[in-house]
Amino acid sequence: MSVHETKPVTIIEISDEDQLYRRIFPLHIKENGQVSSAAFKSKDPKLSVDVAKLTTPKKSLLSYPQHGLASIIAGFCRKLSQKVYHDPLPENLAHGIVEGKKTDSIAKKIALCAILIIPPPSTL
Amino acid sequence: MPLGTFVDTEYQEKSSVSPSLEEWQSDFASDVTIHDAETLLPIAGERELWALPDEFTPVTSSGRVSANSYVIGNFGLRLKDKANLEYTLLISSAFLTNKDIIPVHAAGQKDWVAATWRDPRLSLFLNRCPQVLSKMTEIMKLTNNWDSYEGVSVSFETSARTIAVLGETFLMLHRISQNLPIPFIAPCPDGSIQLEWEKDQKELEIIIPFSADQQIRALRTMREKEEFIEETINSSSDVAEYLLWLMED
Repeated sequence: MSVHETKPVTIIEISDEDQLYRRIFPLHIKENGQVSSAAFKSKDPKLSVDVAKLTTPKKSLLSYPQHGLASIIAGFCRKLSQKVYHDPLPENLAHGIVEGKKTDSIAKKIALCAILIIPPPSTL
Repeated sequence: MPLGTFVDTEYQEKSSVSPSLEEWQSDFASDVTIHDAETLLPIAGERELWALPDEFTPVTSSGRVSANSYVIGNFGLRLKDKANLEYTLLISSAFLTNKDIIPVHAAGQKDWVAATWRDPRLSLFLNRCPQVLSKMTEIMKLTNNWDSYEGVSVSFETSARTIAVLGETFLMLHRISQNLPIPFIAPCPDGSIQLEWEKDQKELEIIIPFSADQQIRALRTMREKEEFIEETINSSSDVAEYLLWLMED
């Protein structure tokens, strides 16, 4: 391979049992420690996540010291009519997408099942 | 809005010499650029926003503004009527609402800050629920990509609509001797604002969309029954009804 060629990135299958990480902004943590459904809404149908088995919580938060980290399960998202797939980016090979319309109730259901594995260092 | 409803007025006879710049600056906070009223209100239509009688002509205005909070202190307006008699309208503080927006530029600030007349409906609400204004102030400081996923900042207009909805809901509940429970307030990545309440196994979300053309949405969650009911709402009275549903045993 020449110096100008890049190693092809393997797209991995995400199983229903796989965990997905989502960074959580401090203003999305409620007083009771639950994550607001606002954290699982996006401007478009594609919600960015990190595929847990391809990264670590620390790496997911590396450039985002203010944020916390929540974990959701791929299979749960698929039951909500979402597509879940690996979408590696040059700057983040663990990047994945939860794609589908995020109605308020779908975002709420995701939030209710999300587990906050690393709380933000402080609330704003 | 009648002029005398919620502002203090000070009558000043026209003097032979127009107020000097120094005199203006000594009346109010000095860290504001004085603008000619014609600059502020370039078109006649905008003057209607001030709810001024037609015979009044704005002369100039001044006040203290902050880019970090949308509370305007000591805002003053000099008016001159057809008889050249001058009046000073002194507003002790003004809160943002989605109506009667007066653009004001503060010296040294980069952006225009929109202020409004003090709305008495909001005064009671914001005095009783100051946490709402402080949370909205924090949210309005957010810049694009605040959530690390390219979330957009929340606009002034969305914030103003949010406070207006909460203020009106507060008053409706107040009239039936109910208190407005303080909501959890969250920014959404598309610039909307989400208000959340919960009691026992019930939760209520009210979403104020980033666009005034879209309807306010409601989501009621009954966790025990695993029921999620989405609805659009038309007015703050609907919000009050949902809150009464949430608070009932």
